Amino acid sequence: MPGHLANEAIPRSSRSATALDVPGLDLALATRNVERAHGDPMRFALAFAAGYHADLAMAREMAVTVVAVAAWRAGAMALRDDALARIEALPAEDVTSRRVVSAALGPAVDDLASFLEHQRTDRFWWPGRAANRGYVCSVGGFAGLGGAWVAPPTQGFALSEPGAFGILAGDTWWRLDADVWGSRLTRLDDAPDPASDHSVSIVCQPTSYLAWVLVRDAA
Amino acid sequence: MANRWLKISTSPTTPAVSGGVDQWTAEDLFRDHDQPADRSMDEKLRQSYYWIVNRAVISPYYDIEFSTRLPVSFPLGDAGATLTLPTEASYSSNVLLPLLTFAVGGKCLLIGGPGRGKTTVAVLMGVLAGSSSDEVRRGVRQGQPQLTISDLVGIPLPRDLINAASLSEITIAWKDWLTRPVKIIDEYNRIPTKTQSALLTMVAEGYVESHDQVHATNPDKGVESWFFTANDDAGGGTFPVIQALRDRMDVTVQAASFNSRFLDELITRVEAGEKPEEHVPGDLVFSREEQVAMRAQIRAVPVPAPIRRRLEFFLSHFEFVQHGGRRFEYRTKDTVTTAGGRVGEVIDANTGADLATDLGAQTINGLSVRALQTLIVYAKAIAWFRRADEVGVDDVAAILPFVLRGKLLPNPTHPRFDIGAERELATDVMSWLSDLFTESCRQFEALGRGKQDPVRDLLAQLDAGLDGVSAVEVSRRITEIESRIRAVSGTRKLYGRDFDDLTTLKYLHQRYTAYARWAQRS
Repeated sequence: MPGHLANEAIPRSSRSATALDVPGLDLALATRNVERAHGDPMRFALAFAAGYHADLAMAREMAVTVVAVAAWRAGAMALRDDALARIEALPAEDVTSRRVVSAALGPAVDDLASFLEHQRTDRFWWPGRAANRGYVCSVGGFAGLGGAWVAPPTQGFALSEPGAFGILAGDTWWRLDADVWGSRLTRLDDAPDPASDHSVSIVCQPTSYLAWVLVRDAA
Repeated sequence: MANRWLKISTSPTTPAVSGGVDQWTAEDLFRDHDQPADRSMDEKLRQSYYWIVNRAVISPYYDIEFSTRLPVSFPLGDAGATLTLPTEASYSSNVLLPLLTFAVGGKCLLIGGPGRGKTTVAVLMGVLAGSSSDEVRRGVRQGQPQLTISDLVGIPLPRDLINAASLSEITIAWKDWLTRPVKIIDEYNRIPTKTQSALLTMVAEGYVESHDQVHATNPDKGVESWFFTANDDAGGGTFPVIQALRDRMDVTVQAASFNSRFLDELITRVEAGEKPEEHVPGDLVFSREEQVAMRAQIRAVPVPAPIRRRLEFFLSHFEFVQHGGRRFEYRTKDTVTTAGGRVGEVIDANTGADLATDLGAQTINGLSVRALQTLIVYAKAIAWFRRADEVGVDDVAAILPFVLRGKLLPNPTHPRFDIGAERELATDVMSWLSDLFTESCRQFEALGRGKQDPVRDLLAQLDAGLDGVSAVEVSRRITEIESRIRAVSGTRKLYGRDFDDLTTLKYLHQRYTAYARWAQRS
């Protein structure tokens, strides 16, 4: 099945962010919008709850930051830039806030700075990537089993925008947007223009309906 | 209980396919995206379309098909029937065409047997334009053999008729419907010829005249659209429709028959005693300003050069007829028709061209400039409706049969209409017109017109201007023009596409030789 390796450690849960009552925040609406932004509402609920429980007395502005971080963590790539900007804006000496962000995002507090440093230049970085030889995620899948494609992908390459790829499945071109936690496929009318960046590869195999995203420099 | 009429599509009716991830802020997660702050006009028109087909008119027909990939198709029966499943959003013509007519301010003829929802669709357009359903219903003019011009437009005040010393002193009590944005004439082929002529003035010129008084039908310069209905499009009815009025119909749409699988929905409506036009959601009503803006947006949709060339090639087939006249320029179907001749017989007399290749031989007339203008406007409209940045070949192909129906007339004596399965095209004019455009595009490709078009190149050279062009260059161009004419002459066959090219080459020759003479004298 398609998915991100970085998400495999997260247990599946039916827990919902709406179960939390945070004054001044409509979490039901936020959850719907995370789903609209192609994020996973369950992962959003888990990430937000983890961050919120790290400091139940947090102010509304900090809770909004946790929402942004949790949405990004849930695979909503639309929130990536905002989440990173909000984390960077936190005062360096504010240990509580860093503990909250760390709880929502995943890495330990001590590893948070390193994680953010890597993410600034490499949207596919996560601590376990090297151990998995650069594997980030698999996308697509057979349409008959809930995937996106009716034919196996045969080629793929990076596009000029960061995290964007063109993939040919059957006679249809698709655009893949991906980062460490999320991915999104959209059908294209025409073949896209490849970029010269070869740091990230799309691997296709004739026996599979999945396409794999692999980073050459795994570390 | 929730009002079932009020449901409007909440998600975008045509999602963008280009991809990319728009960046949001956390605050965007607390915004209700189901209530877009600035709904675009095309989205509103699509929502209107889906509301009509899903709620108002039971029309499960998708005869305007769009596919970006080869659609799945199934052969059915043993008579060559095929059902295709298009890969893109496809539409029901008997709703979409009236809606586009409302958007561009056109004239739509709805044809079909009684009780097929023709008037209901037209009335819905009136409600979308901002009138109440009662006002629209009251404004519908019912065609009948006794309909006089006064019945149609209004009467002079009796007081003025007695007291007035001159016609200018007579006040006319104009009918209210004349100035409504959507005007509906039911069964127009039952209207007496004299009244039809008055109607023609309104449709064509935008005013009505009675007792020397003139009344504009669109006084506030908004968007004015007309809807006509008829049970017959082949000259039937109580009175034959005058050709000039018939020619004013921008699009002709056949009303669909009722699909028996939707009987339950029909019974529900009968039991509730509901009329769809009384339940149009307020969100779907277009203000006058919105209608004007919508028409402006549609007109602004570009027609790219490759589409123009294909259209140009298609149009070139039809005016020429080999034995239509003696002088080259007079060898046209119009020459034959205006002289009382039969175009079909003249085409039969031509043994020089291949009738299967000559698309012009399949028609007994050419295309009017008005028809071309309509085709361009409606192609833009459907492209805009589909959220395309520019008009595509599929937009033109989709709209062309509806625009040219009743305008480009088939030649019944052409052998095509007498062979096997092709006989069906003699009655299915829409499929024939569609096939005509497809075949023209095939010839366009086969002749490599998209890649090489010397006559277009010569026109472009002239359009660049003659300032500073040397006598030698002019002479070279004249030689090239003559050589092009010689090349066509050498084939010893002549088709409509050559006719337009040859007259263009003659025009270019005239311009260059006139310039050369002027340059020589000065």
